[in-house]
Amino acid sequence: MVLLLTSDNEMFSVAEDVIKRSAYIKNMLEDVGESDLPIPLPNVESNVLVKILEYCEHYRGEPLPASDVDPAEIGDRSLDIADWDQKYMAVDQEMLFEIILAANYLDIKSLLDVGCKTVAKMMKGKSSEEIRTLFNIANDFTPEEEAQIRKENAWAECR
Amino acid sequence: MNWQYNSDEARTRLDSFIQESRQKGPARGPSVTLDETTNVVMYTDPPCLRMVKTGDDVHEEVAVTVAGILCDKVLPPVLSLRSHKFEHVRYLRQFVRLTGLGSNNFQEELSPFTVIESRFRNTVDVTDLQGFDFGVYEGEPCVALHARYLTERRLARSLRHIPFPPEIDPNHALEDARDTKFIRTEDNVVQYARKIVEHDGSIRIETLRPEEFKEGDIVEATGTFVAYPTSEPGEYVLVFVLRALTMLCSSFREASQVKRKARMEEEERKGPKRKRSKVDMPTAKGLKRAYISPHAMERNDFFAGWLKLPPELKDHVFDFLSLSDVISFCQVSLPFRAYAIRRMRTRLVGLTERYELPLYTLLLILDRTNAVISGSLALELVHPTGLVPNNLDFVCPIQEADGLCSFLFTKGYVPVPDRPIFPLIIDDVPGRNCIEAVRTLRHSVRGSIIHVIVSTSSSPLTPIFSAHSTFLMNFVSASAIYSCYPSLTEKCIGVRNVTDKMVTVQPRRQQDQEKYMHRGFTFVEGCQPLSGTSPHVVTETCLHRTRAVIDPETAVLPFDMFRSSSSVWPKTEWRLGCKLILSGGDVVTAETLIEVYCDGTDNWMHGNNLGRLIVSNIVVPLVLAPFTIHDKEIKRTVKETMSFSVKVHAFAMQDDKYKYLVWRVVTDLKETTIGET
Repeated sequence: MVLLLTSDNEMFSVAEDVIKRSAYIKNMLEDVGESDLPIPLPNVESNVLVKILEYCEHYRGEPLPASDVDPAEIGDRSLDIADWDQKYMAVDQEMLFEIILAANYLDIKSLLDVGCKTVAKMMKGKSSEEIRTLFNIANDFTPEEEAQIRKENAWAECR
Repeated sequence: MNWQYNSDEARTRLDSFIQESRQKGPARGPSVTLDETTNVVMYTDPPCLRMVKTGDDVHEEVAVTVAGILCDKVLPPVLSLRSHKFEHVRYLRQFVRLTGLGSNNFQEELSPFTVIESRFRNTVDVTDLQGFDFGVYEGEPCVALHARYLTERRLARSLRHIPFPPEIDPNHALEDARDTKFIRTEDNVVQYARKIVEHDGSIRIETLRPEEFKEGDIVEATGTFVAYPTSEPGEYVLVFVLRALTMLCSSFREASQVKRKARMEEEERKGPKRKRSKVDMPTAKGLKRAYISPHAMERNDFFAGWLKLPPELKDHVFDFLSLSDVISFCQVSLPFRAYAIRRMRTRLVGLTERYELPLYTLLLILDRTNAVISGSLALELVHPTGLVPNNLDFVCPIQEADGLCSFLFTKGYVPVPDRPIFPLIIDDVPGRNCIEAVRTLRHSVRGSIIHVIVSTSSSPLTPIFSAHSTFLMNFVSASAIYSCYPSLTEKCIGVRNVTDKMVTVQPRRQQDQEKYMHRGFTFVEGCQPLSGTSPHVVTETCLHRTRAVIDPETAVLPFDMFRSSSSVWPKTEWRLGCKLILSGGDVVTAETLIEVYCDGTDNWMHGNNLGRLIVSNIVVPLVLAPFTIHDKEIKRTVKETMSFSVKVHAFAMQDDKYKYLVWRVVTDLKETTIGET
């Protein structure tokens, strides 16, 4: 078992084969070896770690991603998300972004991809006005510029 | 501060904070600046007057702390800028204004500012001084502090730029704006923190994101006094420069928000408000409210979460978006447009990396030879799936083939001896695919393969519009990315170009189509044959429309931030291969029609090399059934009627049957609005 200490000082005892989906923990265990000391996770709160462990538990036994993958490789870019992953990601938006940050910190690439795809899906198919609302930004085009842009992108109006 | 804000209690709490700091803490208010060791000293880099404490060869800038209630603020993050003009960037600043809401202690804290001002005014070099102008809030005195985000580099040549942290400049708007003319120095740095009193009375300071400060919070603002010279000799402007902002108490503001929210929910529970009478004219104000409110929660949560993501994760999210979404981003604002274009260029760089052709070189050669990139790479740009194309397909005009290949030879490519120039005829009909030849080149070191597809004409686009399906009708030119059927392509649907059904055996095309089907794309057959006797419904899979590169249905993303997406191509029109039922009942297949107009007139110069045989000109009038579309932008239902006039320019006969038919469709679109929602 591996002990994990979250930023809000909660201790978790997790099976090694579950948490090894995190490349960060996996590498740490390989470097440090067996230890009774907990691994501190200063960037992960307990409620987020619970969700992360739910993901790792679900994929327990599935082959881990190869460690020698070239980071320059493009990787999956489709927006297809497996059914279970979609249900798993059906959380409020604050938790969704926390999961992404935690997956990035813990280096769980598959979870990071699922999280980023979920966010991308929220942005997909939106009109420019809807994106402005989503990102809380003002329109800085002049009316003339906007009219020109609308004319050039008329195809998008009936998407 | 909303109407539920408890001003009395907040004022009392502020008083106690000021009293405590006077009694327990070290003297930090403005009065500390008035002893004999405090002087106003002239500095360079940047030139200004500062109030400092002078000791043994050491000058320590006087920093004073004022506690108050935040009543006005402009704080980071800076998400976008409306202008990158020098004068605009120079004055970009953050700002806070504090009030005491009538607190006597607060007013006492402000009284020494007059003396401080007179110290600056009495400095030798100062002939004229614009003093403090803090303003008032609800009739009560205030103190205002600001800090510019940037300093002109020419005024601080010895200083290094301090990069902006993501909580201040998450979209790199400031970094982009500063260019080479500005830097961020210590004078531009502001610290944000929260002061927490522990159970044992000890004080702990923890960092806070600037967006967490809201109007109504009780805060401590720490600042220094700096007088900047104006353009007039001896004239200065005195500023209380913000150095740090510390949250003391946010509970009054939070309580007011909770009360206000509870009250609003209670009002909602009481039932809907009286319906507006139908005769009431809607006001612009009401319309805006109705529009914003459904998205308010989503926006806030999403936006707050988005701000937390580091830039590399934002890029990662963006890389999942298709061309049409990227173009929507371009329409949002100028910084979004810049970001979206940059990401698409990065996407192109990623896809072409293995071909040893840097982006600049690639775009240059496309420009010089009027060639385009098509095939899987263009498709991957338009609709990313993660696929790394096995080869790079250039399509070039016939006269540029040698030049393009010669250039590629200089970049380490060699002809592939065992894959000679393709047969000129991929299909069984000469010239029908508009391909003169395909030359295969391999990189001598990396082994990457480039196909140079040579058009039969001076247009590189004709082979693209002759391709087997709309999947392949995407291309990258020197100036832009084009997708001719963006909606279908992004839904992984490709309409078959009917042309390929005219011949029985086409192994090459069959092989091509299977490749795309393996990748999850679906082929559909398009619409029913056009007939003069039955109505024809025009959908996005309609084969019978004549399209143009610059028509509104083509999605175009220019690489250049300020370049219009208007095509640089000569007027190029095409119509996919389709079927037509003639009046006698014969079903004929119309060959794909491509027309390129090079001379600025309406006379087509080249396109398909079909050998037009003029036989007759007939007109088949067709009236289509009315159909409706839902326009999500303007929320209205539109009834459209369209009539086709089919002008048959020419057709060829073979074995007494119509084999190839060339015709253009002239549409007459009438639009009637039948209702608005």
